[in-house]
This record gives sequence, structure tokens and C-alpha cells, in this order.
Amino acid sequence: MSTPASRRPELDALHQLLDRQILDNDGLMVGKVDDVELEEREDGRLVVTAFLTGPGALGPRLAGAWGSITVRTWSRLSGRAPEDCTRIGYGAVSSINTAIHLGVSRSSVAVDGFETWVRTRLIAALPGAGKDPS
Amino acid sequence: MSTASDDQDRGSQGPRRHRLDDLLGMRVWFSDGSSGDQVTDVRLVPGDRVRGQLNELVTEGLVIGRRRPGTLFGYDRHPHQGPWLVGVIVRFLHRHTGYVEWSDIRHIDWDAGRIDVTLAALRDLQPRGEPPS
Repeated sequence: MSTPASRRPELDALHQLLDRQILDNDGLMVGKVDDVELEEREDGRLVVTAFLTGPGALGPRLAGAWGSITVRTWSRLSGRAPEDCTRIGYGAVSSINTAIHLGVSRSSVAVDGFETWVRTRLIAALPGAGKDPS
Repeated sequence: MSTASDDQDRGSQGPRRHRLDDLLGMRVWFSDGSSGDQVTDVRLVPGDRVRGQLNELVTEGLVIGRRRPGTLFGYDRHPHQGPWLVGVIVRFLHRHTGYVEWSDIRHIDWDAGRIDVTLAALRDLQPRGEPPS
């Protein structure tokens, strides 16, 4: 075996990015890093362009039928194409350590689609929903 | 290095995008035609360009191994990290783990999940530098 030449500051994507918590600029939880989007540069190297989160990103990581069911169910409920998962651009990231910290608010990255769907389609449809309990 | 076999959409739709999960698990093929182990991690370094508030993260190389349970738990980063016995066990389980620099890669076939490298054997996995702040 030969030895790599360079020893620059590095991080391992699987070990230090995947499944990390994403926090917004107020410290509120946004989601987990379920996958990382990589873009080809002209020199052939790949560059991180976004963190992917939610069932649409997690599904392909699950083996066999579970992954397929997860993606299809999410796609059906969210009304989005299976490959159009929730994406947080790398430009929104302010720091990376034990968590991924964003420089923007949770609402600006629109990751609560399923929560919104449940609130408007299920909770709001229940008898008595929307009435003041007092 | 060339990448991918179906580049027909590159010109019309801009740079091709991939997922990290697509890269993980790809099998490495050496210059002598023999096959090696799988990609178990992707090593990134800060690039020169700034995207938002941080320098972009660019691929530096691939960690190649046999997908043993768990990871190296930082024992690749701090060779003398204790407990000593845990370090010995982790390093034994991952004794076949090695490294491929990105410049060693000749071709990535994303459809077939195959990476051809110019090496005849893996490089030693060296301790990582400190992660970017």
C-alpha cells in the first residue's frame, strides 16, 4: 500500500453528515440528514450542494419493499414526485459540528409538508376542530 | 477521470447530481482487473469556493472496506485513542479497510455501481485531519 500525499482538514460524509440533526437559526429542530446531494464539477470531483431530508430521501436508503413503500406513500401524501424530496441547499448552512446548523429559519426551508397535510386534511376535518375550547 | 455512462443529459440540464447513498456501496475495480471491496465512506475537504457562509465541501477520496458493523468510531483519527482493547478490536475488524484518493479514480459507472481506479491495491487509511469549523 502507498500513502496519500495530503493531510488537510477533512470530514467523512457517512460518519459526520448522514443522520445528523439539522437545527435552524433559533435552535429549532428541522429534521435529519437522510441523504446528501452531490454535484459533478468540471474536474470530475463531487461537491456537496444540498442536504436531503424526509421520507423521500430516507426511502431509497431502506432496502427492498420498505424503501419503495416509504417513498411511494410519501409521494402520494405530499403530492410531489418520488425523486423530488425535501432539499436544504448547502448555502443555507452556517456551521457543521455535531449538528448541521442553518443560518435561516425553519419555516423558510419548508420541511413540514406532512405536518401541514395532517393538520389541514385530518385534524381540521375532525368534528369540533377549529372551535375555541373555552 | 470520466464519470457515468449515460451522460446524454449533461449538456441540456447542467451538471449531473447524485446522492451520497448511490456512491456508498459501490465496488472498486483495480487496474489489474481484480475487484476490491465497497465504498464505506466518502472523505470531504473544504474547497476554495464559498457557498453561503461556508467553503464548499469537495470529495477528496473514498474509504474502501468490507462494510463491517459500525464504523471506525474515530480510531482511524486518533490511533492511540482508548480504551486500548476497543481500539485493537475495531482496527482488527477493519484491517482490510483502505483508501482511494479521488485522483486515483479513472471512471465511475453510476448505473452499474462500479468504480475503476488506477491503483493495483488500496492505499493505507491515514488519520483524518480536524473537521472544518
